Amino acid sequence: MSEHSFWSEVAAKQGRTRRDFLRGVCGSAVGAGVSNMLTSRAWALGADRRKVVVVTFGGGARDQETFAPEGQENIPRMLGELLPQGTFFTQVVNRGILGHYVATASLATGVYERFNNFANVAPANPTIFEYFRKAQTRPGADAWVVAPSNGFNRIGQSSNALYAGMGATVVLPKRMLARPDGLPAFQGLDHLLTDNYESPIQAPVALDQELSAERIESMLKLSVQDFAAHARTLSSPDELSFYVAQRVMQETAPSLLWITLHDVDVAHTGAFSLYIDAIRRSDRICADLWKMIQSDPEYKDRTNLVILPDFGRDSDQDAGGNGFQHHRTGDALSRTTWMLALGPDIKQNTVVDRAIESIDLTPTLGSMLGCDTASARGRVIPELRR
Amino acid sequence: MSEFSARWLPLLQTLPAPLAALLMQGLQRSDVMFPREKRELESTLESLRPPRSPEMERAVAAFKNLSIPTGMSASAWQTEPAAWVEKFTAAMWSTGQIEAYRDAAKLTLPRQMSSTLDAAPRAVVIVFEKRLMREAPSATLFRRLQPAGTLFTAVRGEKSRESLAEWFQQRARRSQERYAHWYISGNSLPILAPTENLASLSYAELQPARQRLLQMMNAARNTMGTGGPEGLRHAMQTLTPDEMGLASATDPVLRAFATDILVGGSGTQLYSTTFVQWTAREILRRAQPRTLVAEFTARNQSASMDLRLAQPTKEPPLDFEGSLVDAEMGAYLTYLNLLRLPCSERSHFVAWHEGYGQAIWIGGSASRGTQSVEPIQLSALLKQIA
Repeated sequence: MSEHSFWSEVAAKQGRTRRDFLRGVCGSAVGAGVSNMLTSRAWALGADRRKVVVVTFGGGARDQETFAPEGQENIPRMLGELLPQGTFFTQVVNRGILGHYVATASLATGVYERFNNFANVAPANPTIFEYFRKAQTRPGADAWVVAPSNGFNRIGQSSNALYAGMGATVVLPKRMLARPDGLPAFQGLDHLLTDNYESPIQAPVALDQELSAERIESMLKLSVQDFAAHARTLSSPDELSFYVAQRVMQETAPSLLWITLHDVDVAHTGAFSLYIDAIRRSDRICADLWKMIQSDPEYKDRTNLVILPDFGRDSDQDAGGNGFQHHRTGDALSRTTWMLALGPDIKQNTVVDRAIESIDLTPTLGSMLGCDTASARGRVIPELRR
Repeated sequence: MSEFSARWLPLLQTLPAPLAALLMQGLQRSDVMFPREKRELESTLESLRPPRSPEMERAVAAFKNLSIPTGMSASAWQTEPAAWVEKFTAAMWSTGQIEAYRDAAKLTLPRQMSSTLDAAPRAVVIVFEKRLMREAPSATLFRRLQPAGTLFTAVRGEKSRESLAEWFQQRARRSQERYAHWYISGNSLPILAPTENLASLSYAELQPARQRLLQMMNAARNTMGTGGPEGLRHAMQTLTPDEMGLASATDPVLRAFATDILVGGSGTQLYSTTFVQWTAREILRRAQPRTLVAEFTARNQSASMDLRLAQPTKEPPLDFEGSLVDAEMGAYLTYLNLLRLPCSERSHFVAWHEGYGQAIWIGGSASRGTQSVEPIQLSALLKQIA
């Protein structure tokens, strides 16, 4: 087969899958135009009771390994349990820098941040955590971030002086188990300390921006020794993050919880099976998280859950990349991903085909939580309403 | 500066700095390039010499339109082109010009240059060693490749390996161009009669260099202070084959290539499956060989990156099932890379699993999307693409 004809077929198939994504699984689809939109203000009615949990797949995931037909075997629970209860966006475009920390920061600020992905810096623009806490005069314990260790220690608080001290409580679970050189502080935990494959050099980073282990122990009512003992029963860093997130929900029940999963980033090693394993693990974690939300009276029926990868990964067809391994080309596939949202404010069993941008997340969360996100450049996503 | 580089420098000095830097990077490596890639570089340089074609004028104009960030010297590319390109690329991402930069670079890609080497069909054979198996006794293999070729489900023969080695050496004897016939392995190489135009590389033979590289990365991350990932990358880029412990390899081109694979390939130091896939990609892209045999073998189980760096000689146990998944994707990506070469419509591609006794053949008289259950010897299959 010639190169042209083979790729024409692949491209046609991809075009088809993007449009026909999930047809037959979901019952309805909402087109580009939605009239009768609620204003942000109306949307925020009752917002003081609302809680929001955001899960990002730092590491990026492609359609063909997730919601496209050939990837659906990797996400059985999101597909079978969560999708029918939520609204699914087939095109979330990230027009910013495709590095995980800077992209996650952009998701949290609603502005395409432009800093060096590997630098130990805070986002320049206010984060959703700061908007929320300032507008609603909430304490630090009401907004939490659970994140992989490297680089994410500054994600909760911007450098904007107007919001000083209004950031999220950030917990980096792996750091509670590691020595400063990155090696485990307890035996049998090597497998949980796997770090960013793009930048092994980045560990260790300054510890001054995150919560101390003692403070975490006190807030979560969990000694580091007990934490380490439980950690030995887990199989990956993301499971560790989920365990900590559960603990955060049980002990402090924050209104805004942001969990960044990162196992998927193992794709940078080029081992496709490990990338797929990580997607399957993320699928389980997301479904279990929703189950937990629905079984906890503090969260049940008042919590919106939003799940999205920070971006995609390179296309197999781009000669400049190496398929799933990286996200370096900036091609359409690496910039385009999906989002699934579910909860009391969100339509069920709905697919939205029009393109939205990843920076639309923060204004939308602001609407759910009743806070103005003044510096955000994205737009409120009108379909995320009941 | 080599005579070759000096000859082209005056032309480069008339070009926009971002284009000149990319070309200078190539010129600096020209002494250790494969004949094919050197000819392509020369062809690109020739095409940039005035008077240029309208297409090349467009390319030069596209590079001229990119704004060089303040603080970056427009002439530093002459002495340190790699560092210049890295810094400039980061600036392209942060200023939102990355697409324009990529598009400009694509305009200067060398036209596919066919040569006498391409008169005979190119052939790629991918071998899956027999230990790469699922727990189930049978498996559906080559799903991504099946639409393009014929699947043979009963490939028999106890001496298949010998047949393959014999077939490979016969092809090598028929053409004399250097670096035209390659054998690579994720473990050790088979015994092959020494031939000047036969090139080989194996994960096992590179073990000392791999471990040395991990050791150097570990030392760098613990001593480089604020150098960060970019500092590490720069330090790695300047490593010589001697520093990597590759002094015993006599061919300077192969030594440099092996260094590039280990230093520039993400995960090639950790997983044999990644090593084979990336090496196959780079051989096809750079050497454009007539024959390539690439053998996927079992890779190590996943382990903490920190652990692998801190203890480079400690290699985890093997993961057979995961390796099979990696190899399937690796075979598919190799096929896509084969399609990018001149005269790809006449190429042959075979992937063969010696444990399951299955093979897929794409090219020649192989029908697309078909299956043959008739028993066949691997030697008989290879005879058809002699």
